[in-house]
Amino acid sequence: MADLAIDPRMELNPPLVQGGMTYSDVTDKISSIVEGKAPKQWWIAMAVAVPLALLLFACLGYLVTTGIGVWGNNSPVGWGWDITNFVWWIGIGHAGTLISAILFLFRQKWRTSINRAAEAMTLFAVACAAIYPLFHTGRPWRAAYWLFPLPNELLHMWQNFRSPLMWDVFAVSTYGTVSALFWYVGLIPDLATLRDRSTTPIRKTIYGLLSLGWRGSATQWRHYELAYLLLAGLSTPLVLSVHSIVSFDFATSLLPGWHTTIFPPYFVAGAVFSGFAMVVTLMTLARWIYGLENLITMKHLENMCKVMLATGMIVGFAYGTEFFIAWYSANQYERFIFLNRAFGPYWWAYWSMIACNVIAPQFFWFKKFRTSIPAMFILSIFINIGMWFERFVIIATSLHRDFLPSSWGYFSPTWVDIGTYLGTFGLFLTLFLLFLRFLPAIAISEVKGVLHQQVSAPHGVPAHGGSH
Amino acid sequence: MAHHREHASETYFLQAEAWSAVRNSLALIALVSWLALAAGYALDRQQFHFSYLVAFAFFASVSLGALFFVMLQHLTGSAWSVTVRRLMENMMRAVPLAFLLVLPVFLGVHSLYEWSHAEAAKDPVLSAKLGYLNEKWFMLRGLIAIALWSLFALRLYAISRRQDDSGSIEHTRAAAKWSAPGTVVLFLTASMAAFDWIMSLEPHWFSTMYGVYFLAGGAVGFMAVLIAVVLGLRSAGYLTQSVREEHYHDLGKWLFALTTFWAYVTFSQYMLIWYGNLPEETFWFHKRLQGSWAAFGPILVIGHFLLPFFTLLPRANKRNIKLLGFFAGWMTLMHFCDLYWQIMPVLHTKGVALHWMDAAAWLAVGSAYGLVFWQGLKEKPLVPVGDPRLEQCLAFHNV
Amino acid sequence: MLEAVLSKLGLPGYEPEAARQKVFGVIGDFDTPEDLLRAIRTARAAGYTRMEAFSPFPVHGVDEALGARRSPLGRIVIVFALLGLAGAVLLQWWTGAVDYKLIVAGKPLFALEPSVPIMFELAVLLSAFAAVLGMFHLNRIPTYYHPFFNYSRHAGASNDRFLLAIDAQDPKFQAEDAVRFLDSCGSRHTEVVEA
Repeated sequence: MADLAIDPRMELNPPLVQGGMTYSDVTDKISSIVEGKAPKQWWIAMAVAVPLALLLFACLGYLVTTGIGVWGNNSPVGWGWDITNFVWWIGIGHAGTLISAILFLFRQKWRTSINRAAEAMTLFAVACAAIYPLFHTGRPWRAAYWLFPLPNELLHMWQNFRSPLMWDVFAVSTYGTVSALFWYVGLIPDLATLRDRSTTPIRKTIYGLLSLGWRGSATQWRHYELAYLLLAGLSTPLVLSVHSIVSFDFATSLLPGWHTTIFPPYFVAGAVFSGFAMVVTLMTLARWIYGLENLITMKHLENMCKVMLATGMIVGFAYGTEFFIAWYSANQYERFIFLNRAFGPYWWAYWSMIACNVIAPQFFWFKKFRTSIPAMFILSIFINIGMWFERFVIIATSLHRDFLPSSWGYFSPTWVDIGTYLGTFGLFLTLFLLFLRFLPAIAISEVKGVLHQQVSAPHGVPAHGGSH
Repeated sequence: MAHHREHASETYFLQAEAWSAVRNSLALIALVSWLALAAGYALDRQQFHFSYLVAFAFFASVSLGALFFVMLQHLTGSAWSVTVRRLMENMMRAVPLAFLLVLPVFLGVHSLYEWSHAEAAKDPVLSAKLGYLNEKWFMLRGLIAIALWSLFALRLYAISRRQDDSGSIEHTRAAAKWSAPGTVVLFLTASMAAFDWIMSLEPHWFSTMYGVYFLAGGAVGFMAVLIAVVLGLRSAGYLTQSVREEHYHDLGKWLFALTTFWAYVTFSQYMLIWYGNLPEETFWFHKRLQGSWAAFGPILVIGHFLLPFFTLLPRANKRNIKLLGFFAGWMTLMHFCDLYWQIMPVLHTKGVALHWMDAAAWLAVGSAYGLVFWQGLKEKPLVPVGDPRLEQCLAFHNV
Repeated sequence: MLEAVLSKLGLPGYEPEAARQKVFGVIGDFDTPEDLLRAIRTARAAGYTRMEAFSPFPVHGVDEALGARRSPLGRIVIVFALLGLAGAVLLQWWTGAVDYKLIVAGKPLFALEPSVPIMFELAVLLSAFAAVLGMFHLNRIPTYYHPFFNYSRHAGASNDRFLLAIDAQDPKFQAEDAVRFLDSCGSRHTEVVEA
């Protein structure tokens, strides 16, 4: 093996696991996070997250006991922050599935260090998202009868399955369930690792039960790998369908600004865009808290920046297409709504969106920004904000001024709106921190698989796979 | 730097006689079909322009599909596709031919596009868009788009060819660098071309999805043609070592995935318009389901989606060379049907009216693209022999 | 009496006396996946047919070396996908067009266009359950007792060791021979493991 730096293949495929780690180093490093004491930073983060989560419960309690009127929703803006936050959180979740499923199908090996945490993010984001429609029903304890086709003596009626909101119920609950299955299946071998390393009976029992008696036999791996591949194959169209169906909530209506055919792919791209931004925000933090530089390398982060650039361009392309076709349609309502978006009372939201979603990612054209942790951290937060504004702009601007000027209005959030939104951050962070604490945050067995290819084919010419 | 000129017993160069034989037959087809088209132009000008537009849209979209895929391979640093990339590049190399082949479309603006008629100025909807839909701008936009595509296509082709001799990683980097802005430019301009060339045939109608629809169809058509070419060369005894089961399994996956993506885009567009039920949008579909055009509904739903989807779903079928070969041909036909159904009902409003010029135009435009493609294989390697990832590609294995 | 009946059923813990005392097999412990693959190939050449490998990650080539067939999971999943599809059509048609007819927004009581999203979702939902539960079934998990765990270094298989077990059911199996054989293949620690 000559000087690696000048081997062109080495440059094309830089190692994904660095620092000369061995298999047992990988086991030790990742397990130690779960086995050791929580670092101080973890407690600090919990101290921020838990009170926020309590704020969520307080706001929801106040909402349920008082009524939906405590939100700023009004007529004509019947959907306000609730659905904005719902769509935003669901979108955040999409990066997890994209990383775990789509990048898996495309044999992008760099996904292995980040997929577990990203999948966890998906689950928690879906949980946060589900809160909004559930509580918008006002009586969440009865929502099961309204949302799912449960036969019941009380109502003697069925849901309207021709409504996109019902499609959404099915899409989001399927998405949550399949993501949980996918995540758990991925965890089984790693839970077996933790079981085998357990020193206390409590840990041994819990991890033992959860790992289902996994042995890592060749037979088990054979079925396991196919199951994983099938789940990836199922999740890929699923993730496309979820945000497409979310977009149908708007696009099947006749409202200018909502009724447009590009919505499904545009929403999906936006979801991936915001999801990757959230992954970058969290990964740069987790990497710093736990010193995971050898596992979450610059190459991982740079690739995520490239994904943000690509999806950001698609989102920008969709903004442009919408604007152009609104003019091209020669329909006065279409033309008005888009001008109103940019120059009406919500101009500040529109231009925040453009600045964060279209302009901010342009920095990622430059390697300097793609490889700078502070730059990507800040830009990813901008993108998160921008994607929130995107949903808000779509929802509020189309609703507040529709066909009849006499019914025009304006939406302002109340403190409960704001508290609930901040509260979901608390819930999300609390769950994510608990996950980091008690479950292997990086897929141990998968990283070893990548490491094996690296060890057995140091020239970056693996016998299997390769990138796509 | 060491790199492989030849792999094992395999030659990367076409035999001179075989090359000439194919070239001669392509030239003969070109000669006959262009002469026939010239006669057709004299006989029925309107039919000529519509038949020609279908053929032109078909091959332009396929060559743009090639351009997109070459850039995608560079952007993602793909190894599996290296041995088929040169064939994609040769398809992409035919992009500039559009400069010439778009002329009959420009010539036929009055036959094709209602907005070019004098009455358009009196139509309240059309008069509002004449700032965009007018002959001067239409042609200028077309030429700018083709110029941009040609720039990226020729540039990437030249980089790849130069790497054949140098084997330098610098060329891999340069190709990736060109591909990033190239993809952005391609999306913008191709979607504009779709609005201009096809959507504006019905100038009252509009759909924001149309550009994506056009690109998705083009990608399917491209993948089908690529597979046909690869399998054709294999059956003639070329690329048997370098494009193995593992590689055409991947090509099969792509055909499957793109077909599904096309279905997703098409369904979303259709369903949203069905659901909205606004006359200003539904008339487009209504017109395309009149009389015998209604047959195209099931043809596209089943032929362009359900049949390939369920057949290509099992792994074994994607690795079955005969089945894959059949679907390469089938999806080529389906992409043609898709475009035919988008374009032709403007002329034949009552029902399907097949015309011999539909076939003649397809052969004429196709043989022109084919000749440029084939020229690129003359005494030049069939695979990018200098690509640093070639070795990795040859060793590649599906999980 | 009861004992005799239960033993016929082959429930765990009630295996026939003879089976209970049998050995599970011989397990050897290797450093790298390559050593493991080499050992499997040597063992196959030596005439062993019933073997099982254990590793912390799937090692490619092991299945081929062991002569295993592809998993049948794909076929199971497609059946459930079609069930989900059909179930969704039935659900939407029966509730909307038969049991509770209500025209909303001028839409037909049942049409394919608005039914596609739920058809898709249910197909995916059932397929995912089929994939996971099917995998559990094929892998016989959860199973909390397995003779493999009697091997003193079984924990290596979830860390950095690559184990090869020669099954006692193998026609060629002789415990001492198998131990000697695995040692000769480079096993770091070979044990006869109780069933």
